Amino acid sequence: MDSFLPVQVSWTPQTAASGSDFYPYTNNAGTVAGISGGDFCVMAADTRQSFGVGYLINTRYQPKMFKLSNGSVLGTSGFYADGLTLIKRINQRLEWYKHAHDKEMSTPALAQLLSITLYSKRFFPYYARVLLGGLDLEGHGVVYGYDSIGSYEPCLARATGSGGSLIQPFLDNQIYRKTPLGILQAPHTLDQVKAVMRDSFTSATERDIQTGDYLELFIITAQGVDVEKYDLRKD
Amino acid sequence: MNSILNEFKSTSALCEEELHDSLYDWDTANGFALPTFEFPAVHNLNRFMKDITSASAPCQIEIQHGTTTLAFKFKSGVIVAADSRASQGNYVSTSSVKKIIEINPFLLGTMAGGAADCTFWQRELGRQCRLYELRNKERISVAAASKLLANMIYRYKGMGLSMGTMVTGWDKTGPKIFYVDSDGTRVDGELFSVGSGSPFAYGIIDNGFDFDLDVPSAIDLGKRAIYHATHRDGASGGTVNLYHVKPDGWARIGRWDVEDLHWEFQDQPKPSPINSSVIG
Amino acid sequence: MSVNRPLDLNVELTIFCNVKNNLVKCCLEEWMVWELHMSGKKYETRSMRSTTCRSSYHIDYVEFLRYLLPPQNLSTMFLTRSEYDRGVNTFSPEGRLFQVEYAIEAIKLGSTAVGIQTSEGVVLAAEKRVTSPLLVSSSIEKIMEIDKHLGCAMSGLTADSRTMIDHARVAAQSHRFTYDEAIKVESVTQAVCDLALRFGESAEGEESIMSRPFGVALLIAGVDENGPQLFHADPSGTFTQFDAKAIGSGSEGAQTELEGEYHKSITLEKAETLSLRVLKQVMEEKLNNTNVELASVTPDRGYRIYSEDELQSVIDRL
Repeated sequence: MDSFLPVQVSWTPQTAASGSDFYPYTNNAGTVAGISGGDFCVMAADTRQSFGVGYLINTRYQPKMFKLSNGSVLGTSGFYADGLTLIKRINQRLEWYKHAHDKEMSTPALAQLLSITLYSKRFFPYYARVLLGGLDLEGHGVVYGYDSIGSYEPCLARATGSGGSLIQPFLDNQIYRKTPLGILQAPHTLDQVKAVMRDSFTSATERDIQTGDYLELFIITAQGVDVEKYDLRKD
Repeated sequence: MNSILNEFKSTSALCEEELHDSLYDWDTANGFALPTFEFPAVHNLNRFMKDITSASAPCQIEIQHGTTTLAFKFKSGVIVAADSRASQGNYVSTSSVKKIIEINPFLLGTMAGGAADCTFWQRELGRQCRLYELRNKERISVAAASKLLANMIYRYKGMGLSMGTMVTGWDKTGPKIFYVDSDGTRVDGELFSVGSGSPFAYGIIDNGFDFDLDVPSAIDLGKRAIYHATHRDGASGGTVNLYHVKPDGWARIGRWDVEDLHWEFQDQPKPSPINSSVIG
Repeated sequence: MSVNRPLDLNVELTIFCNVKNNLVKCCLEEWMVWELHMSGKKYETRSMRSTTCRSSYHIDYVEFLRYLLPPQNLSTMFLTRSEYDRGVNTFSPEGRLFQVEYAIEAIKLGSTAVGIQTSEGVVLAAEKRVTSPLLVSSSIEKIMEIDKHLGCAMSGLTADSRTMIDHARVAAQSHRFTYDEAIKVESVTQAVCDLALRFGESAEGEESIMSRPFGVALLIAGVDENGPQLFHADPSGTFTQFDAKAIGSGSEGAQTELEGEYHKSITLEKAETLSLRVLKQVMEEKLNNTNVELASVTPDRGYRIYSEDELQSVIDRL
């Protein structure tokens, strides 16, 4: 009732685990990228799932992008279990929102909800680097980039995960067209964007041991979400 | 034996809490009021937070950090300016961060430290300020708003929050700037700069400041201070965002790429673009 | 809930009564009314217009019967009722929650409020009972802002509405916080209604807010993606959408008037005058710019309460 009360802290001291022994994360790695266009959004991720220190491959095909019930696509890399839990939570919230407000949650509303959901684990973060792609209220493509605890912003093109820092500079050049002296933005067609995505992941696979096997593209338009699958190097 | 029992107990306690948490969220009468947080089952939360965010951790939780922000009072209000670079370690994660947070049409906050910490708590502050306005039929003072923020943050002191913010606005008492940080500091002042680039920004402002500056000169001073900070501090960069706080609320003055400012302040023409092989 | 039956009162008269909750709407001949007046007790609370009766009066049911019947008959006749209207959480054998029904009755004692939805926005108007010339009329608040796209008019125990409106405000702001969008009019109404049945003992996992039901009805007006809308929420936690709705002591007459005058293509300006005209007819005092409140919610300007000057200009149009 009274929101001027100090914020509640639900703290349950427990004896199960003591400080330094408790390390709840594993890096399953992988790369996720998203590019938004005038009336579309392309989300991409490789399907390799690595394990532990990074040399072991759990599986060559474990999709890390999820189509949510409102037509947005959420891509997660990092700790797969955390990503999966996040997806489950978000889908539950989407369902409840639909019942409570009798409409589908828009992608911008979901972007904010996702930020707050991540922040609710501020003191026990999800080890998940996520990207959210979809269409905004006007039907324009939009990609939201996040850090692990919910700082987010909408962007034209964003890459994250183990190969994120390899792909992002390429997107800066190809999509943002960042030259040393400024940004020359131009609209891109869906085919151009798909080509850039495929090249990005081909290159990232060359240099990142945790990226590879298959590339999945989720193409979001007003008509729905199409999924395309391509081969990447499997070494 | 006891430890096994405890382990068992704590597991079931967690399950219950999880269930309660999900119930609580959907209880419309209670669930929407206050943010709640999940905590790991550890004795020493501080140590856990340090472990997981450390660069040597196998799975480092990388938090976006913000860097140069400033705010100063002059005769026509307050100038608030910031850069736009966010870095995770040495990686520039984005160059288009809005580090000046529009709490409401009359209050601005700035972002330095953890980006998520700043945006989340200032968003919560915005919610509380709006409720204050609806309940009391007048806007909250900057002093009260900054105190709300400081009190909220203080609850989590020592738990790893990282924010250094200036809450600015114009209320019945005139233009105001309060510096609030996650250690619990809250101070009223005329001029602040926060972040790793702040020493450079302070240098420029202290050199060029005069309370009687006209508005264009004050804007120019703010722009220069941020530009010079981005020039000397690797963790600052991108664009300068600048706001002017006036009696009837804030106004967004503009956004400038620091690269353009670099040539402008050198009084040199910007070199013509080099050829690049971009598609289409 | 309303029963039309001849009620044999064990006296020489047979009176047709419309038994509704705590009140009996009696159709009496003129001479009968005369008799009641002669008793020196004032039973009627407000005169009503009616097409079927020559005159019709609201009379307190129990008081009325106590007047007509010997006490021992009364207690045997209405044993069940007096047993089951004590607790707030006990159904009567007929399946009624009397305290909730009585709460709905409490609204009929309140000042009248009217809401009219048009395609251009929603108008809310409320009567303020200025009971003394020394009363500062601006201190009476019957229409309140929930958020910039939502307003609310109330009738009944308005003190109760503070809890509900604060709840609505928190719901609206929390929705913005979580979803970065304005809450729908229906959702905020639902949020208020969720609160309405939180009286009595608290259930597991939730906190009860009141020891009794709220004694206030709300007209919630707002604009969202579905356009301008008007909702009515009552103490039973039921909410209904209306094109035009009146609540409070004059609601029956006002609603009849609204039903006659409302049409789908009504303009906001016409709705402003209609709302005041309806209030004027049911108010005991002469309507002026200090004893009514007028507000509108429009897509362009959001919630806006009219100043005394603006109110005067609407009154001048009447």
